Amino acid sequence: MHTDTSNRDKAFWNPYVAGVALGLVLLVTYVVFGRGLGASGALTRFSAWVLHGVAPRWVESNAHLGGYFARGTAWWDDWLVFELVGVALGGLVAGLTSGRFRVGIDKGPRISNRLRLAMAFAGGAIVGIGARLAQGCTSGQALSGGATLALGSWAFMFAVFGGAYGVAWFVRRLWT
Amino acid sequence: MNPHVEIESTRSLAGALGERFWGWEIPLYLFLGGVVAGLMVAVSALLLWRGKDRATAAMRTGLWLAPVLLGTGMGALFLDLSYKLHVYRFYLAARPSSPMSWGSWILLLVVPVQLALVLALPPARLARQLDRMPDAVRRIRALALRHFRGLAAAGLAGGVALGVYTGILLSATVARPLWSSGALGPLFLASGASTGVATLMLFEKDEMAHGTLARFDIAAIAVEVALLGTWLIGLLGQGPLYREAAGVVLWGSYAPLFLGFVVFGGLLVPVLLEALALKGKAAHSRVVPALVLAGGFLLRVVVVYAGQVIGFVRA
Repeated sequence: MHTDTSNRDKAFWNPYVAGVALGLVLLVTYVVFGRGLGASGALTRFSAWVLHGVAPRWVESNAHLGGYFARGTAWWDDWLVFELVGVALGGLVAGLTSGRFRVGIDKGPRISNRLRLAMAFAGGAIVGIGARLAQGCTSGQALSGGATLALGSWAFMFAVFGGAYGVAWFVRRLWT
Repeated sequence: MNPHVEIESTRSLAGALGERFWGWEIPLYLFLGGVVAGLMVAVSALLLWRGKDRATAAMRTGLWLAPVLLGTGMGALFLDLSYKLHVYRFYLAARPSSPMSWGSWILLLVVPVQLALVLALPPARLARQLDRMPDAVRRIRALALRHFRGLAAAGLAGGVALGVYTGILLSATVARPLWSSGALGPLFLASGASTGVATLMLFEKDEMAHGTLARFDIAAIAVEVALLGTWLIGLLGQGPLYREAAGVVLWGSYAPLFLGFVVFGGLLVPVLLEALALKGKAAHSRVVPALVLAGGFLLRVVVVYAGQVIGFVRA
């Protein structure tokens, strides 16, 4: 039976409670899987797989990506790939049970969908390049590395916040 | 290459060398065969139960999707044959002791039933063109409408036969320890029923029919989980070789794919969301049946691929 739950969206979690819960999730992943949370590593593997379909020899000889396709290995055989799929499934369960699941594009009131998607693509590309240079993104470096008090991760975190504050003024029209 | 073999897989030689002998074609064929079986069983049962006057647009869609998906699956199977021009030889003999022979004839016999059901309950676009069709087509339609309940019963029987056949095909090969289980037949039948119902749920807009389908899917998934347990626990208790074969999917190289994507993402998460949606505690979404379909396909991939890792004879 169809039940429209969209009119009774549940309230969001208290952000401090959500932060503690996320920390506990991180603790569990270290204890159970021996690895922290991450995201960009899985996307790198996925990108490498797509690229491998187009230029297999180049990918296999590439120092950074070639290891994913070495004999006896599978590009998807990594904790991060499964974690990312689990994140999507968890998001689906949360969205459907809270009445917030809908297809849409989050954007400011003054920009078109096309511009929003173009900016998201450009921003994603910059984050992708940055994450590979830093060997991790906000999940792998800031969250997982930060939790282990790694100095590089804390430097990364301050650089992320510093960079965001510095650039936000220039792109504020996209959101206001 | 054996000169006396007229019909064989493209990778028979690879099998002799201890490599993977079946690629993507066989899992795709088994998956689509299961989906079509499930579609036929679910739509035919609903038509017999509710009557053809209460057929929804999704049920009509399911009826024409069945031959299209079956044709696609048979196309994948055809690609796997070494001697493609010899395919007609499947139909020069009927061997009661051979599941492949049974399957060939079942595949051939269910198609006319499927097409007659499509003519009896055509989708809107086809219904508008029926007047312009040759007289013979209209006469077949009139005949199909006159004997509709018998036709729906034939669709139900054909769906069950197709589902059972795709299920026992692997266990009947007696080629690999992982496939040597009687539970594999009913397992694929249950999975086929679930994925067929999930396909209908993708198109169903009628709330009552959607609820019925969700309940049917939950039951099919529950049976499937029980049969997965029966299959693997049975193998674990049969001896070291069978235990090693079961280990490939439980803790070996295919375990992440099987446990993560098939069991968790393809069965447990969708069944939880379907149960919550029936209680009004979660919204309905087409993503849920899509997860069931993805899990059903990956189940065939895992069973076919992982089964080829451990053989009875060491290469």
